[in-house]
Parts: sequence; structure tokens; C-alpha cells
Amino acid sequence: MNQIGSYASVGIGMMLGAHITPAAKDHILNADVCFLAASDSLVELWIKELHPNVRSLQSYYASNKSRKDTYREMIEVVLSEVFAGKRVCGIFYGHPGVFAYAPHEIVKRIRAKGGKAIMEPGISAEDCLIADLGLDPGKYGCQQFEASQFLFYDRMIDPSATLILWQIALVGDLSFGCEATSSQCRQVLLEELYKIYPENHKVTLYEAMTLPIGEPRIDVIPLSSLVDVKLNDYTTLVVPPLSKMKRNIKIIEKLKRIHSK
Amino acid sequence: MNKVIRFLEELGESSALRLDKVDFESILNNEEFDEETKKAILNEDPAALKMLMDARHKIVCILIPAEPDEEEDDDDSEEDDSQNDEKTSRIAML
Repeated sequence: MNQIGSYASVGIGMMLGAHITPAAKDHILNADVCFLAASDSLVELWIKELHPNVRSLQSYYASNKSRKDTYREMIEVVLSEVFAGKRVCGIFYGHPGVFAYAPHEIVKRIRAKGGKAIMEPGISAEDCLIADLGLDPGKYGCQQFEASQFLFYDRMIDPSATLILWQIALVGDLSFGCEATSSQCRQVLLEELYKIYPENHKVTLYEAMTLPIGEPRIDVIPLSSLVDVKLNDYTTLVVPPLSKMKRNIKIIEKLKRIHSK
Repeated sequence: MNKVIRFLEELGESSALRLDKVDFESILNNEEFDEETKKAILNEDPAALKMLMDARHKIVCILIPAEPDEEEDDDDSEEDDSQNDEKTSRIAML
């Protein structure tokens, strides 16, 4: 039986050349085999220049195929190399642990078998969003969901905090495919959001830069326009707070009593 | 390394990229790129550049399912319920 190899899930950030950390690069350079999920095809070419054995995970995505199967296959192919005794690097755009199922699962399964597996953080799309939109998640608080999950489960939204919905183009997809859903699905999302926000509430569509040419997408639109705009699988919806935060007088008084003792 | 990829990597690493206005025209004068490539970079046209580089036309960047793993969900259900109870009582208190 082969000895279990080792594994690192590394993030290469969002922008080609700009975000990769020295540690992530070193994991790539020293791996026997690398698996890659990039956010841009030129980023894919760049990473393939760094190591002679980089296998893209793109081939596991397909139309009319559940992403659950895609992720299962990605996990299996990576694990097969680790359990064959190789030093393996899983290279993911952004941060490998943010809104990413397979990288966490791979680390978990290797550790469960007694193998060595780590996750190396990277600059996520959220990090870019914070910088490009000048949005501090600590200012009013921030709640964020995968857009379909937001619809599939009962959620309690705080209108005094920022709301971020990821993978907005795929909202309402019950088949977990990788194609954009219809405007009818977006309408269902809007109906949910209208329970809290007015139709003219200004929201932002955001796309981080993946190449050092061009600009990030920052489109401010009324909420009602969401149904008509072009969305990509990497478009994010940012809904700013609607109302001011309400001070919890009872708690503050209770704390004052504690401090005055 | 491919010279266009190297160019993009160096551009990404550069502090001038986002703080100063990059003068692509003068930078590109020093690069041995064909005219089409220079034009795509000058126009900041990633689609044209990808075509010239023979890069993948479509790339999917979706890494999370909308639902948690079923097995994991079942394992956590008891804990989730107790967390929900806690949440509900906290909300009621407010």
C-alpha cells in the first residue's frame, strides 16, 4: 500500500500576478502534481507556466450536469493522487476556503485518513469587493449568502446591515447546474428582497478584476433593474443597508450597571 | 514563460497599475508583441487577448453548491436545532 502523500489547497487571489502569495507559489513549485480551478483562462495559462504538471478542473463542469457531481469528481481525482503518495497542490482562484466546497472537503478527507493537508489563504473576491467598493463589513455588519441558498432556506435579514449575494446569475437553480438561470428566477429573488427593500433601493453589481487590464465592474442600479441586466457567474450583488442600526437600550443599560459596580 | 503572460504577471505585480495611469503605449514599444496583441492590450480587451493567446473561451468559476452536503447536514441537525433555539430566544429577548 502506498504511503499517503500530502496536500495543500492554495489560493492565488483574483488578479493575475497581483495576489499570489510567496507561500502559495512555493506550494505550486514544489508539488508533484497540481490541480487548478482558475477564474480566467489567461490566469490558467499563467499557472500552467509555473509548473509542468498542472491539470485544469474545468473539464468537470458541463451543461446539464449537477455541480454536486462536478465537485464529487474533483475531490476524487485530487484524492487519488494524494493516496497514491504524491505531494499535491489544489490551486483555486481567490481564497480556497471562501465559498468553495471541494477544497475544504479534500483537506477534511485527507486528515481523516491520517494524511497531512493544509489550506493556504488567498485574496478572495470579497477582499477585492471590500477594497473596490470602499465597504467595511464591520461598519454596519455584513450578511452574505450564496444567492440560491438565500432562496432555498428561511433567512432572517437585518436591513440595517449590508447584504451580499454571491453567484447571483445562478439564483434559483434547483439542478445545481452551471448556466445562468432565467429572469423568472431573478423575479422570485426580487419578490423576496421586496419584502424588505423598496424597488428603487440602489444596489451594486460587482465583478473583481482577474487581469491587470480593464476595470472591476461596479454598476449601481435600482433593485428592480436586476431582472434585465447581464449577469455573469462571477457577478456579485451588494445590497447596502436600508435602515439605521437601532441601539439596544436594554443591553446598554445592563452593561452600564455592570461597569458602575 | 510566454512573453504576453510574463508581461501580464509583471503588470499585476506593479504598484503603478492601479495608482498611476499606466502608459501602455510606451511600455508596449519595448515589447516584441505582434500588432494584434498590442492592440488588444491597448484597448484593454481581454476577450481579444484570449483569442490571440488561444486561451479557453469559457471558464466556469463556481465552487460552491447552494446546499450543504446532505450527510454533513444530517450530522449537524441536532446542533443546528439547539443553535436555532438559542437564536430564537435571543431574538425574542430583543
